[in-house]
Amino acid sequence: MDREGEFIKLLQQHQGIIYKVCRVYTKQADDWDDMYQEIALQAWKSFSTFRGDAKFSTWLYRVALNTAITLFKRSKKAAVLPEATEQLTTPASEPDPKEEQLQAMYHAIAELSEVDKAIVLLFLDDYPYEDIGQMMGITPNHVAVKMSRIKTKLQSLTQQSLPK
Amino acid sequence: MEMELEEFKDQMNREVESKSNWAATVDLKEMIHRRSGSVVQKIRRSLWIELLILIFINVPIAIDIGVSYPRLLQLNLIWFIFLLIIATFPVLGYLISKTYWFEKQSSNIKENLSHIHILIHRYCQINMLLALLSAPIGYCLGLLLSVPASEPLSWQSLKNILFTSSETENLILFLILLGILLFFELVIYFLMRWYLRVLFGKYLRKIKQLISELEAE
Repeated sequence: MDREGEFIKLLQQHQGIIYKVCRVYTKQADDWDDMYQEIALQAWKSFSTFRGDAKFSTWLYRVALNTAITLFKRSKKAAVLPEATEQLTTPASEPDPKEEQLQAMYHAIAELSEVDKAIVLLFLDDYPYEDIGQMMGITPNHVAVKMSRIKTKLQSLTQQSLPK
Repeated sequence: MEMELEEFKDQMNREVESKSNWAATVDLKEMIHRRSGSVVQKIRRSLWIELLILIFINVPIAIDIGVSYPRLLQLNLIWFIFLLIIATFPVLGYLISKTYWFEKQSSNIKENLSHIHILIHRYCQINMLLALLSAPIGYCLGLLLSVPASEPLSWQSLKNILFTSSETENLILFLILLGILLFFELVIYFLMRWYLRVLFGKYLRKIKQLISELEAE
């Protein structure tokens, strides 16, 4: 299999990572497409640096987060939600408290800074603090401190957005 | 909060599983051959355009001035401009090569942000320098071309033509000429600063803020 074929196969298997990153870092349908494409493109461009000593998923996470955080966004006025977001944000006929709580969590994560979003994403994917630290360029202790602050922030944000 | 995050994680994973084939193989193949919209790509495109302008517009103009106004060669001015243009090649080339190098990196997020910050900062500095250098060159050329063809072209001739009155008037004229040059430089400086801020100001601030967020313990 040629290099491109190998890359496409790996990317296909790990699309979930790009999906998650786009899910957390975008709000508009156009942004979603742009980001998804940009991550795939950047991953392909730096694929030559992937030597297999780390897991492809870890490497892809790093590329995806770097791309999402540094994406040079043009200001767009259209505010169309992506299909997936719509699915999750459209309220059911009878509000389900669990669903509402999850929606509140999505909204709360959207309020976090780009750095905090990255830490939460990696934390939710069960990466240990040491790995998160390596990906972010900070110490594991710093990750722990940040994560504790993020949890407090998420708690207060979810409580604010939940109906009383 | 731990519980809520666990539930959220499960929900998110379920959603990802249901969308696991969000982009088909054919779409992915197409995606990786499209034009990138990253800031590094934008800077690289802009640097290539500047390099091409330097080669395909400025060099013929410099040659044309040399041919049309051979008198300017007496002052070695054309050679000086020529050298100045050539001297910018390695600088632009260095930045272009940096963008290619940068793209091949998969460094951590903090490092990546620092690299981008440095790259944009250097790009802005070089553009500002080029713009500020072009003003005095154009100004001097304009002044020199005002020396009549009958006169030998030298800085002395220019001085003789411009400063013929009393010392006080000469001083005033000199100050006016200097003032005009400084005015041009100031206008160019502020215009460039405004332009670069419109282009990258907000973005640079965001990058800087993210770096300090990562540095703050």
